[in-house]
Amino acid sequence: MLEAKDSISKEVSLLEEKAFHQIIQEKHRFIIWTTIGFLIIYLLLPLFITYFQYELSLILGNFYLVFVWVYAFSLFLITWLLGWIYWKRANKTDDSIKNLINRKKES
Amino acid sequence: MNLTYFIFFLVIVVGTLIITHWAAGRSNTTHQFYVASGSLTGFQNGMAIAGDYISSASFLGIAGLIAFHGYDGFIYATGFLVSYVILLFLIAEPVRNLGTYTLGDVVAQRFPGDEMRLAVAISAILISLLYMIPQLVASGLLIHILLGVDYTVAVWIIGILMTLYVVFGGMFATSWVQIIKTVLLMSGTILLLLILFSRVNWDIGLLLGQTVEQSPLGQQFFFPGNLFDSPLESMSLMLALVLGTAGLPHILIRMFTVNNVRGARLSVLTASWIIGVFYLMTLILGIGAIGFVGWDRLIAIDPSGNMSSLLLAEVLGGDFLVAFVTAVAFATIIAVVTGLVFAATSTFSHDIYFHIFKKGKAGEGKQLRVARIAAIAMGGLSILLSLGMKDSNVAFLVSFMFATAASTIMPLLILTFYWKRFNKVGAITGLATGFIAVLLLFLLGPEGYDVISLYNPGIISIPLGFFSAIIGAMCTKKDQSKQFEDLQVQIHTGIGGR
Repeated sequence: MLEAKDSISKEVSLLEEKAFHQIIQEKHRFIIWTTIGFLIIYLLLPLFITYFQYELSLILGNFYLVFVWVYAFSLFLITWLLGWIYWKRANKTDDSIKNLINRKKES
Repeated sequence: MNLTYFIFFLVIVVGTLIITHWAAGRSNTTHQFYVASGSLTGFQNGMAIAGDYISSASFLGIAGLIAFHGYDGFIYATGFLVSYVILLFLIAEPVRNLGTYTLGDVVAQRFPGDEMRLAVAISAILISLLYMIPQLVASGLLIHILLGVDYTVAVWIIGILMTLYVVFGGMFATSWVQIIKTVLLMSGTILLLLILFSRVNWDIGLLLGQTVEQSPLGQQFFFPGNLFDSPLESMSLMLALVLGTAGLPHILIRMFTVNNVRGARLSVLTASWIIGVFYLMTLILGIGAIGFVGWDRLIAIDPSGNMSSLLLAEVLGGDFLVAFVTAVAFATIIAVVTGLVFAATSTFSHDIYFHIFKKGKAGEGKQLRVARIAAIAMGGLSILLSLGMKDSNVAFLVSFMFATAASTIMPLLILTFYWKRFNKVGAITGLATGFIAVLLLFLLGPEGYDVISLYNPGIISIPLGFFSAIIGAMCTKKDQSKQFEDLQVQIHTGIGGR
């Protein structure tokens, strides 16, 4: 985390910084779209399986069993993978903001 | 009472009391008492979150659900895990960077004033206390079955223990009880799993074959449709599970126990790994329970399925292994209820007493004294409520509380952090509507007067919580947008925070 004791004046100057807004917008874009996509995968697929269980099992035949288990296990993998991607991206965002503050301090 | 069980039970009690004694020497200031001085590492806090989150309903209940319903039981468990994506992406960092000790602190950064703090505090206390009831009821019944102790005595024992940990050890004791629980839970589950695999000579096919043979579902055990037959109910339950975690006060306040935002991120990541691995192991335990214990015996001993893991332990390792698993279950119970009583305590003493009643003017000693008295009051209240609700439906109450958290605190936090046009009226409208909606749906639902057939209220109450907050904000005048801009700086940098 960036130091909490940084002064209020720096907050104000950070707000005036276009680069800061871009960093935050990019972060928000990522978290909002990824969350929506993830919720759709998590909520709609089981609904689809419940509604169209018969049709799906007819279409997929023996692969239906594989399909439902791959779906269940993929939820674990997706959760961990998204966590790892977010960890990398968020740490990079922290560094970008830190660099921005350092540049402002120097100037 | 079985002596082996009693010895294991005693070891857990003595061990946790030693931790509390150690923690008591480190709980002399409010910063130490409420957030363990922010001294936990992300990994330690992740273990504590897992300990706070995985209840006996998960440890014993999910294995039973899988044993009885196969695939659908496992899908139910995934809901508890995937909620950590929402927590990590949208909630953990803002909570860490805005708050000091409570959720009231977090929301007060955007909406200062007593009304808002009081609304959040009441919501947090209600959710924590109401979530504690099913946990304590389940614990009382479990200890009654396992140790042969009377239900009332069992609830009093657990209630007194959780209160002692909080009163004397504050967040230090709460955290370390939860960390040790996680270690015990994971090692106990791994041990069971290893013995199970060795019994089938590491041949998974043999284990699955035994399951198909023993389960009345046969091959259908591995297919969907054995538990969730109504798409509306499944959708409602899944929505509550995936969004509910991000509104549970006892999980959210754990973000204050690490000293920076990277620590908060690492906490959630670590918790998601532990919880994920745990549920994967539970799948094998559920399959093993039906395969080794058999359907008839499982049903005959406990039709709810909660005893599946213990019966499996009995088949695999006899009395000694059952005693160990019982001890793990007991540690699981006390870690969760301690976290809940702590959340209610800190909210009452910090938000209601210190900020609203004393207007921020009370010495450290006085604040600590009130916090300890509040812990005793919250503990006592929970015990009395749990004694009076012995016959309540535990599984229903747990999913109901997830729906309540997802309909009230979750929308409040999301809109506070990410919506510029949001204001105080919208915040209070959203909280009130969320609570009224879940209450009405409960009263009208199958557990109440049975007017409507919807068992899980989330699908109606969660959108209502969000929409009423949005409408409340849109119909009233804007807050200063400058305040929101400042909040964004604090959320993303911590500047201006503690």
